[in-house]
Amino acid sequence: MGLSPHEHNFIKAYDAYADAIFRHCYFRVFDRERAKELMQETFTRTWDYMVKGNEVKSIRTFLYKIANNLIIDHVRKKKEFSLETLQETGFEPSHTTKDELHIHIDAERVIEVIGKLDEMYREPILMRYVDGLKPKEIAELLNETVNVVSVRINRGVKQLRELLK
Amino acid sequence: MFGKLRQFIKTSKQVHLTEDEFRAGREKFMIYMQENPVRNAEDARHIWQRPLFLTQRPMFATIATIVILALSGGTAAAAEGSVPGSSLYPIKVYVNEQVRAALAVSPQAKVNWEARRAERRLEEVTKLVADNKLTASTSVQLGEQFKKHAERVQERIERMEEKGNVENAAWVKHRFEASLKAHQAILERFTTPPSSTTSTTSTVPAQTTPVTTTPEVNLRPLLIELKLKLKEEKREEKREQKDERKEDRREEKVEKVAEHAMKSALHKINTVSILIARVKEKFGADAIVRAQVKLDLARRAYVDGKAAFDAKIYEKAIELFKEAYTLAQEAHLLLNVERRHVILPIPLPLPPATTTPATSTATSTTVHSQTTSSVNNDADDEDENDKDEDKKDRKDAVRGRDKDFKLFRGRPRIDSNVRVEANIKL
Repeated sequence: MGLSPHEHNFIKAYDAYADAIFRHCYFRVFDRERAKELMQETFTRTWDYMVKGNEVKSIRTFLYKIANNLIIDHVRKKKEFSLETLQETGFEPSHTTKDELHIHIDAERVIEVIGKLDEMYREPILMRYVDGLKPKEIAELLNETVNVVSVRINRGVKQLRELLK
Repeated sequence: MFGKLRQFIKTSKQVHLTEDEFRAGREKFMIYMQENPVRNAEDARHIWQRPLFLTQRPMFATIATIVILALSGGTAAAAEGSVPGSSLYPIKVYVNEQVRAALAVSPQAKVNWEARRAERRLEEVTKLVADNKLTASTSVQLGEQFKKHAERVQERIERMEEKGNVENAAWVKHRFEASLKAHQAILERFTTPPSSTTSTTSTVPAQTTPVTTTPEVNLRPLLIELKLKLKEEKREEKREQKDERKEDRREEKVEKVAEHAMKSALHKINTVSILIARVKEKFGADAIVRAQVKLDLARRAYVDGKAAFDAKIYEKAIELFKEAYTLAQEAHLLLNVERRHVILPIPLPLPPATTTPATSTATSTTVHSQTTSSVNNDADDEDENDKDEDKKDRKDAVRGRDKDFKLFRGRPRIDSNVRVEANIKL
């Protein structure tokens, strides 16, 4: 299949960030299939945006912005969604086999802990430690200053440590 | 406590796509991109100032801002055929060539591309001279550009040798030298006696007459550069050959270089042979005959080289294979020139049987004007199918599918000996 240079470059972005965006979506929607759909939608919308001639300064940050917008839309549609409901009905955080059951159990614990974090700290913590974003990038995504983000991350970490005791 | 946090982070990162999921998603996305391609050059301006997934080198950011990759395939392909003076020429040099330079990752790919860029400057000169549009300033400019690329090739070859990649460095040097020789031969033919030059320029309309109508003057800077480059390389080659003779352990490498040169010459001969068979019906008989003569000489040189190789006289074999490659390359370039619908009054290497010099000039002029008029008629009466085919060829060329275009780009590829051997006829 012959790709144009532009398509070739963009598919490299897919290779680099698809997994990270999937993980980002997963820890907000807690539904594997839905997370995959949101990840795919993120890339297609970014492609459409760029094809129209719009400027993209940092592809990574842009992808996370699109993903966040899609997650917000998804959460608004699912009115009765809550972590409690998820824990009651069950979930599948990872594609596990019997041998990977311990990962499944640990992931359950992760979900439980995340659910108990203060909402203000949850996003910065997930973005910093799960998505691997830098404070500057998190600030841009959350529309806050870098100082505010750093403070929230520090306080979030303290809370997390308490919860993990 | 800190360990639990670390474990928490580690566990959360274990949530990821499986390989099958990743592959399926990727394929789906590629299909989406191809169904929704970039349409207009003006609409698609993609400036990624920090392409983190490509390279961290600051230079790439400069290239990325210049790279208007979202140009439609047609524009980029059209720019490929442009020459200095054309509006698309900056796109060819500062976009297409820069993109390809950035995508060349390995040292081998980089040096090959740099050599190709030098060859492209020579091809532009050839085209301008054939169209009688070469000016003194353009000649100097292209000469300088050629010199810059040739020097970079030299630097990269030296770097490869320093890193121990002697075999590949020798091969690149040999191929580049052969290409320069072939171009020199073609360009020197443009500085033929004034009588034939005058007859050529008389057909050019006044407003397109260049600053000077003497191609000799226009080409002098470039020919000097070419000659200097070749002399320099020859001097270095002689120096290296002396060193090689002194060192016994180079014997094996010489054998490998000879083998490499043999495969390359064989492949080049085969490629040009196929090309001649393919374009026989489309091109003028003169050009085909000239190219065929060159190719026959190339075959003879190859056979002699093979005999020397079998006798383990590797230096002699390398010389003969280089000669075979150069001759085949000249045949290829003759066809390239013909491909642009320009017939040059180039005398055949064999002496004509009965014509006097005056007659031969008149004959060549007649052939030229006849062919020019026939070309014009062909242009006037061009078939709709041919136009569509040309468009398809250009699109295919961009996508790397067109075999003719690939053959005209003249890059030898090494195939198996068994398949290629069969094409050599004694």
